[in-house]
Amino acid sequence: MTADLGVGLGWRPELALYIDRRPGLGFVEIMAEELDERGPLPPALGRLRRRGVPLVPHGVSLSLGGAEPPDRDRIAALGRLAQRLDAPLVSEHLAFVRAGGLEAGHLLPLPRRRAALEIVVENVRLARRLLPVPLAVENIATLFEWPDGEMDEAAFLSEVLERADVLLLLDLANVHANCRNHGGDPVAFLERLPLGRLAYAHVAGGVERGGLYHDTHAHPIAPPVLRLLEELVARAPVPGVLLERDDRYPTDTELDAELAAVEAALARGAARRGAAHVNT
Amino acid sequence: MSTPDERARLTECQAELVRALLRGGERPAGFDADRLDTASAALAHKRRRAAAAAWPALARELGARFAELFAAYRAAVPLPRRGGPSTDAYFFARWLDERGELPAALRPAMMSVRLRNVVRADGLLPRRGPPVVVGRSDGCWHLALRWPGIGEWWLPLPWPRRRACGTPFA
Repeated sequence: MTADLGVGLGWRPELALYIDRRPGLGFVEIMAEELDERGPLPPALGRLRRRGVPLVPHGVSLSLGGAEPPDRDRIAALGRLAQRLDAPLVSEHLAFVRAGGLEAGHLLPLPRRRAALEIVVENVRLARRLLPVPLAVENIATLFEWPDGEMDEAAFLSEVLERADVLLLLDLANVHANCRNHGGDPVAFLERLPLGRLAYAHVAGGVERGGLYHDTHAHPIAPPVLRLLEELVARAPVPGVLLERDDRYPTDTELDAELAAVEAALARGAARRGAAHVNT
Repeated sequence: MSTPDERARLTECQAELVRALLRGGERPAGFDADRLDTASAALAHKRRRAAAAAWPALARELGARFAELFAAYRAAVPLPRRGGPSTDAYFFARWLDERGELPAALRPAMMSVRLRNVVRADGLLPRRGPPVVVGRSDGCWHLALRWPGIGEWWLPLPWPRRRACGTPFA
């Protein structure tokens, strides 16, 4: 488990002013590929550092689930950014984003088979070894699954985390999305994960379209995701929770309300777990 | 330990899936066809929306034709390996230029991108140091020089001008 991060928000240029002005923000996540890690960084990030707000680089391009070992140059770039931002950790996804010379432009799911698991564990170990700070690996949302899986998502994710010895970035909106789209009980899913490895959690909004839940990051947080956050906090200390918003940016008032809803869910969960473990 | 054979097998399976999702390739056996179609449409939508957000003027200048032209570009040109949506938007503009479809108002911005980045086949790389770029903009050829941290200068060519020619960003 990492140090307490509190409640955070994903940094986007469109949200920079809001983030700059909001007091008491616990931490901020930076889209790693959006920055030139050797060039000048946005001055707003320097101001956050001076305020003492931890910055966590969040990558989407390592392709840790790819058949090829992850690109050492990309890992090195993520590591350099982490050092420049004095980041406590970095995070990436349990997914692949390129194959056969094509960039998918999105996080794609992995076949949950033994042979693939071995490859993913080796890839994640390599990234962990080359990074100068701890690595947290995130579960993704998927619209489809590979056929002939030999284990379910909780088993696959848990084994990767344990064997590669990395932290967990638990995306609760993705847990909700996958249970909604593929079946399964989200609370039972949480209970099967190694929650002692939890670095922080993600929450985000989505939308139901054509009978499927789409994890858009462009809509308000769905009530079931907030309930899931409460269930998580009721079961384990949660060092941090971060709201991701990538599109259709809301007003300051709406963002305030979203973050207040997150804090309320944390408080309800903590009250259930007992005052001795309150961790908001 | 994984074996090279297992990596090769996974490479082929992942490549087949990506070709089906992005390039209209044959769907791999065993997958839910409707779900793959939904994912494929979501990926196309995401790419178009991200490019439009990265360069709003490009989407605005093309207006109602943006979606149709971007669909043709997407079918012809895979996502660049590096640089994300802003690189994709730049490559789209260059693709339009090659077809004579680039709105003239976007030419100065194309040159500005080149002043700041090296354009490679796999994407844009930020330039280090002071670059000089020559290109056609506003109906004239220009030489542009940028000194990072100080400023940039645009000279219409040939110099001195024989006829009036606008200098973008003047």
